Amino acid sequence: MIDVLLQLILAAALALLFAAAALHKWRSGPFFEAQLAEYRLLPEALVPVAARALALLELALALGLLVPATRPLAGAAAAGLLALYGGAIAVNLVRGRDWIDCGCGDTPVLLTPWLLLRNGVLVLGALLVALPARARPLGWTDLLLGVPALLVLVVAWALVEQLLENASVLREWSQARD
Amino acid sequence: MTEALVASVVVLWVVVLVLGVAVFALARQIGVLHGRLAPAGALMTTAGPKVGELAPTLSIETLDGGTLDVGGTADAAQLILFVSPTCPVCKQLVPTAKALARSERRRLRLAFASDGGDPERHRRYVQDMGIEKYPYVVSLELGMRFEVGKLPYAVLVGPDGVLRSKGLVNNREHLESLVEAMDSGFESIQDYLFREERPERAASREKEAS
Repeated sequence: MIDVLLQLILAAALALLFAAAALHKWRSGPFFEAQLAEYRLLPEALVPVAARALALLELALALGLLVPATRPLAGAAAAGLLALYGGAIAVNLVRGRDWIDCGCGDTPVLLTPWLLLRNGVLVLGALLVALPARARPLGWTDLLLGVPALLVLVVAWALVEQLLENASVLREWSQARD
Repeated sequence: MTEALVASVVVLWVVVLVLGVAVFALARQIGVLHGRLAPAGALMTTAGPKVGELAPTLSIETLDGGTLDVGGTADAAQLILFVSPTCPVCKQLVPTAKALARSERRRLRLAFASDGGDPERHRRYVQDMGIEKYPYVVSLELGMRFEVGKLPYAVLVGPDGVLRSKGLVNNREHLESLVEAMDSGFESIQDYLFREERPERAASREKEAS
């Protein structure tokens, strides 16, 4: 049994993450399709459909994580989707196609094993949301702990993304000079 | 006692948040600096023929029955853009390449290349993109000789048959950087920055190479 507050914080953070990811995938349209196609895991004809489906699935997960009734299910599904992404990255790393863009955002980020670590941590978080929680009434001290904790998670996420982008740029530079 | 603990927790949370934001801001500034220091040129890959060496010479039949001579001496430089009907980014780049070819038509001949597949599909692509007047070849060999990995990829062969520049191109800036590389003699923007910043190191490296 884990505390319900911990689940709430994690669920809210993951919901924010998926909502942002879904919005980005939907907006970038053909660009995300190109990134998805580069993973070379799907037949070409399926790529545009899959790109749209992934965006919708992420949006559904974001909403599902916020509703208490669907939270455990959405948590499990989120863990599955994140593990699937990790798998896709791992397959391409093994294939040696580490120069492709991970498709994580606007700025290109080349594939690296760090992305697997990142996704692993996210999968753990999503699994914690899927576990049964001990229900208890929430008081003002929970608010005092929950809000800053959520903010810290958001800042930490932005920081990880930024550091990955920086590392990616540095790698391209050093490869260009060799 | 309890009040003091609550107050100290609040203060600590504030400190954690401020420090988190500060570290993020620093990382962000490093990212911005990367962008400012080195304007993005075409992404160079190390595979394939080297810039400054003779490009492979090939004679390939084009889609409409003509021939395209790659490499060797010619009256103008040759820009070969590797595309594919299945590559969305290529679609956005084709009009840009056409515009570049028009503005540089005195000294640049544009050609398109793609690897295998149904010829009918390529014909439709040529029509859709409005590139009937440029040579379009479907050749696996050409892509292999230049070791093209990722599309859209461009190679620029000088009038003397020497490979002037090559790289992955995603936008107009990248394409123009290839022409710029030919004009300036610098292989890439990174090469330019390297020689500008550390002339003595660049000189010693050239000595080693020769």
